[in-house]
Amino acid sequence: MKYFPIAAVVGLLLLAGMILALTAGKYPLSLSDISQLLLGNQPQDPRLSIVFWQIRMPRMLAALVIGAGLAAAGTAYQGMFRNPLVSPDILGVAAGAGMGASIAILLGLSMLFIQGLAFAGGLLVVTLVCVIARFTRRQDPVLSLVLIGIAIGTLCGAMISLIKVLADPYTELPSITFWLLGGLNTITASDLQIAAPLTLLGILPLWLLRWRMNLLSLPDEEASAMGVNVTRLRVIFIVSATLVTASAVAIAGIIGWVGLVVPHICRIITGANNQRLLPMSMAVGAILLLVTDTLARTVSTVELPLGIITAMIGAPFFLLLLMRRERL
Amino acid sequence: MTSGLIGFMDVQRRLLIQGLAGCGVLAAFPQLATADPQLLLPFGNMPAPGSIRQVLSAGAPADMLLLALAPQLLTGFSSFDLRQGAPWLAPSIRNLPKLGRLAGRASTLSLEQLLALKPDLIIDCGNISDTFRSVAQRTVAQTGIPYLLVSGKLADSPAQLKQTGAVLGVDSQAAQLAATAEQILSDARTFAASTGKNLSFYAARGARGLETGLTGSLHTEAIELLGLRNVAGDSDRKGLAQVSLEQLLLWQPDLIITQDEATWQYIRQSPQWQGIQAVKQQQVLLYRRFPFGWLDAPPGVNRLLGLRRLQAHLDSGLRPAFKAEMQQFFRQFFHSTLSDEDYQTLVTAI
Repeated sequence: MKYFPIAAVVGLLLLAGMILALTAGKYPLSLSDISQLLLGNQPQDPRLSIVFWQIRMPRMLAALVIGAGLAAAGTAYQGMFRNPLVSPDILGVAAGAGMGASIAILLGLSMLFIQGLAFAGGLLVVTLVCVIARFTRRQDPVLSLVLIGIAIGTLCGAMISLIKVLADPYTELPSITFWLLGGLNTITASDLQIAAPLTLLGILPLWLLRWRMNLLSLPDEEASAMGVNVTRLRVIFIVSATLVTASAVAIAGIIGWVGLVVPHICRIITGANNQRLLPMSMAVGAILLLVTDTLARTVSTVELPLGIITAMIGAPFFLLLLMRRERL
Repeated sequence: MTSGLIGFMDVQRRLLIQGLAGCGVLAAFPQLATADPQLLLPFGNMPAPGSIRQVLSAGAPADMLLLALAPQLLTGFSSFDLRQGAPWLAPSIRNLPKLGRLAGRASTLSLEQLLALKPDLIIDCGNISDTFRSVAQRTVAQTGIPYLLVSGKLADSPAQLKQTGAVLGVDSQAAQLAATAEQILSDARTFAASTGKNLSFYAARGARGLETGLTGSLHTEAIELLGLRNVAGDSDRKGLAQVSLEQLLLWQPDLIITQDEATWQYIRQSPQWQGIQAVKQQQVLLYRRFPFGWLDAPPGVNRLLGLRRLQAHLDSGLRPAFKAEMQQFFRQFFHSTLSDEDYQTLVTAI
């Protein structure tokens, strides 16, 4: 496939997705209202500006940043672990964040603490995985990371289950369940002011080093022979991807499948070269989340959990890809 | 179990029932599909009313029911540990241990502990769907202890209290409680027919107030009994759901009610919520748990008091008498004397 025409189409789709997210919604905003608001004019009804600037715009930007971030983290991990079945939470970041958030909800803390503990939980678990991995020198470093990630992730899952048993079934338990399902309905501009810079900070090294990502898919000896410090590069990618995922999960809960499916779709278009794959994944991830979130908030009077929609769209798509292509 | 799933299952079950009925009668009278002729479902050999020494409560709504009817028979609470906080309850009640709940897979009380406690009877109150019936059947089969399921609908409170009281052999206490419940409910029905039906409300839950109980869910049942219209209605779902603030701006409820201080604080100080008239006009009510919820959590007879409180808030005619009524409610349902000071603590928002 030709890359540039497709890149142009994806770019247009991304723009269309952003416009869709800003124009679609429960509160009636006409196109002329929106253009007036964008020009900075104060509307007669102050509610219009609240809807546009404080609800819809942060939500659109959150979908954009989180979608791009999760897809970037997924791409980096799939390249690094040389395995197409890897998602951004392979090292337990989502499970750790889920545990942090569940504890905060159990203690009845405010949203700020829920987000803070989720972020900290995600970072903590990945740090723990990396520290343990240092003690397993005899194993293949990549494989041991994955195995430890699964083990620690399972442990966090068990903790979450325990918290659910302890939680009040009428109040805390539903809140924990909603949080774990993921969604952008509670996002505010101030959440974004903290989470978006952190996510972008994590994306930046992935973006700048995306050519070296290709080298990590070679066996370690070959990459070292080319003068690459494999261990250091791996650490940089893990830190960056973790930062991206933890900050996304902290404000949006657990949104599955985006980081797993999007790099696959994009590999069909661009091939395995991360130079092109990473930007393409980020754009497609953003489009996917913009569209699914717009669905989540417009289909019914109540919100549909975003994690469920991404899984319902992601999983069948993924199976289709597996059946269609002989090799991934 | 997520409430969403329960919602979906409700839909499935209702569709099935309607389908089986040939979509005729039941579709025309949906209340027939849910009408329950029987409030009490006994499993196992029920003990004679006078011979019961110890009753075990299976869940939070049963805690409320048994605390009101027969605290002397209560082994402990299933879901409350009142040793810290709740100084307005009598010491004998505060010191009841928390034993854990019986709810099938979600149980926190093991069958061995249950056998060690040797209750004469287990009582569960709330939903009496097949799920809970099978839990009851299994428990009886495994332990041999008789099990009573009580339907927990708030509107049925008087009958619930009377019939459970008859099983426990505390008829005179039950008759008093049922009279209070009947009074509160009939006043609520009167209010619903006149003023209540012109008002709408939103029940805010969760850290940012964007989780809510849908129309017909047990989380909002008490408020809806006053005739208030729940803005979060979804024709084919009950239970809890998340909503967007955009939708709320469109709904513009007259009243926002929450039981959670963090939610209340957030709603009042958040700039996004200022677009909702009820927030601007200070119509955000905080009904802090004491440690029982006023209107929900647990969905037991405790909600009668919340129902009365909300009606007194909306109807100035009831307001002067509310303090005395609440003190009477505490005597009758919680067997505790509520001082004027404690009353102030409980009903002032912050």
